[in-house]
Amino acid sequence: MHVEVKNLNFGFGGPKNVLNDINLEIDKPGLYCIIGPNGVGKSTLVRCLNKIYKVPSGTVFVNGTDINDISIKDNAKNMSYVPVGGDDTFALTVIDTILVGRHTQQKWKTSREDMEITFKALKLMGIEDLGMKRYNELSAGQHQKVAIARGLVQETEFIILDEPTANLDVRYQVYVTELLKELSRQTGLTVLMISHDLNITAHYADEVIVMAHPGVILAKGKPEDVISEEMIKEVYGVDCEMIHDSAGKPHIILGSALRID
Amino acid sequence: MGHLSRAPSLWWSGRPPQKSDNMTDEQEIASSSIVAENVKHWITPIEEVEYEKSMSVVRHSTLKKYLFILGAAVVCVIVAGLSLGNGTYPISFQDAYMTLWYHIIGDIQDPIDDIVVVRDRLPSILVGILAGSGLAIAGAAMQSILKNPLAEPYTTGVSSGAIFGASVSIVFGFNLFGGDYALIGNAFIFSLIPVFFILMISRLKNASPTTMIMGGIAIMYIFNAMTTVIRLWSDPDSLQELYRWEVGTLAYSSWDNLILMFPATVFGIVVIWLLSKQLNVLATGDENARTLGVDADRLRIIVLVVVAFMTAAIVSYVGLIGFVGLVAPHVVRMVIGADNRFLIPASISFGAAILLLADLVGKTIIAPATIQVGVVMAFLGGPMFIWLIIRKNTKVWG
Repeated sequence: MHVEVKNLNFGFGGPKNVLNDINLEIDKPGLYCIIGPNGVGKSTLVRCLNKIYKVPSGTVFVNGTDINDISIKDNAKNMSYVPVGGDDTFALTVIDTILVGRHTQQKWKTSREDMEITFKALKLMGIEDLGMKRYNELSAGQHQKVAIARGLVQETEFIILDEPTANLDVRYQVYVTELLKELSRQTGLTVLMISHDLNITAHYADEVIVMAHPGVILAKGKPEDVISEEMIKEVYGVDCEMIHDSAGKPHIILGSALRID
Repeated sequence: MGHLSRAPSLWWSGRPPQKSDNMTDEQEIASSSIVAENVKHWITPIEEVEYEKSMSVVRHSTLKKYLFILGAAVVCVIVAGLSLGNGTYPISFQDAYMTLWYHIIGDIQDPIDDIVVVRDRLPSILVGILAGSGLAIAGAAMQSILKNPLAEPYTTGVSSGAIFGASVSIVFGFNLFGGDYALIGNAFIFSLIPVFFILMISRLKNASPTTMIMGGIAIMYIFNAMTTVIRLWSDPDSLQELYRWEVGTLAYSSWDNLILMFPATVFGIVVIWLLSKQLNVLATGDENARTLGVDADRLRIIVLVVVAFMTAAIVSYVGLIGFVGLVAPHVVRMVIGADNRFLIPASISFGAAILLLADLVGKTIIAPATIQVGVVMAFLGGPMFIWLIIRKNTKVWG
């Protein structure tokens, strides 16, 4: 899957644009992490990639085709999306919620293939016991695991996750990130995830995309090349100290906040 | 399909898995064994034993859903039989169905029974089944599409809009469509006004489910008031018809009613049933639905227009029957869950059963006097409506 963003500008109609002249190319499988402070346009950027928002100015190419020329149905076959939160007004069971991810493949009747991949996804996310529970009976962390499972059963080559580890305990933060990385290596999946955990990002990301105000991409590259004390001070306004582990990966020890903007 | 379905064959053939260029040897060692093991399970076809074990739970739950649908249908048949027999000229349950059977095969045994059952009583049963299932589905669909547990044709003012349209048609002979279609056509056009209003409110940010319903109830009052006002211009014949609509009843149903009501209601039911898979996708949120190829706004408009059409076709004959669309889907959800692929068909049979039952109760409880079915439904639905509003705070609608 080849995704290319060229000169993307995006705003919600206010005086300032949320995204300013974004250029980004993702052309090979791997784990790509977007980091950056709140309100910098991370979620907006990924929503331009999966057609939740219409790209008004600039172009997003998916495998060479302008995304505005791809129908939402076809785009659903290209990319899956794991949102931050879910909707649970009327709760389906966990299995049915995950099966929703099969919408593009599923015929009227649920096939054996649909069920198989759903069961495997339950196991992959460690929620086999929750299959018949109603979605609204679950905790926030369990919701997140269900959402990731739903994204995976969509069987796309490109998966976008908006803070997939936000509500997970440390074990699952590490597990999910490692899992996504392993999937990218073993199955050629391209993973684009928004993350707030700098250490996990530094440890697992193949590439880090740093976004900063006013909605620009500041840097893109390997974690050891991109993540530095200066970058964190500049982008996040936080004092920090950086050490390197035995594999040469950066590790950040946070100090205190230098400014609030 | 995607790469994942191709991956197992790669894995099985013993060839090394595809490496991404980003992968280094050092990273390869880094993956923990649990991740490697789980990914291996993910890309390997599932074992038969494991599949069957997981599937047995699913099958059990599916069976329960089918049994519920069947059970409600059986209740429907029983109540219909009792209703066919009930009246000033009582006929036993068995005789009622036997009379029906003789009529169908063209071998009428007892002409009086035949007239009473087939000509006098059967139409109201059939109209009741159509109205019950149609209104129940309309409620189920509106609740799913608006993510609002309180929504149904009555509480959103759609029914009242339709009644006003039908009244305009009768009183003034003012019709947007000609011929026999005038009544339903007019009712449909006017029921689109509340639909438009609902769509506007659903676009407002921070509009809670209750806000929408309060708006809907206001619309209901406005339309009901206008209906009352135009009665002033009506002749005595029309006036009687208008009063009938005020409180829903099956008492005046005739075979003629079914000519338009039947195809219109069946059309609505079929369309909504066909959309039930998409309604499930929408249950995971508008944005998520979009990334799964479902345009939430378009689906919302289609469903609401179909609901308005179906409601217009129903209330033009039976009048304002509220709460069927509230009671039926909520009871069904409590028993078999919110999966629309089952909720919709289950609402058909349960909605029909509950309306026929309410009608029978109304006819028998203070016999020989009759309480209209709309009143019985209000006694049943009103408390449920209040309960749903109170329970809202627990944020559990499931």
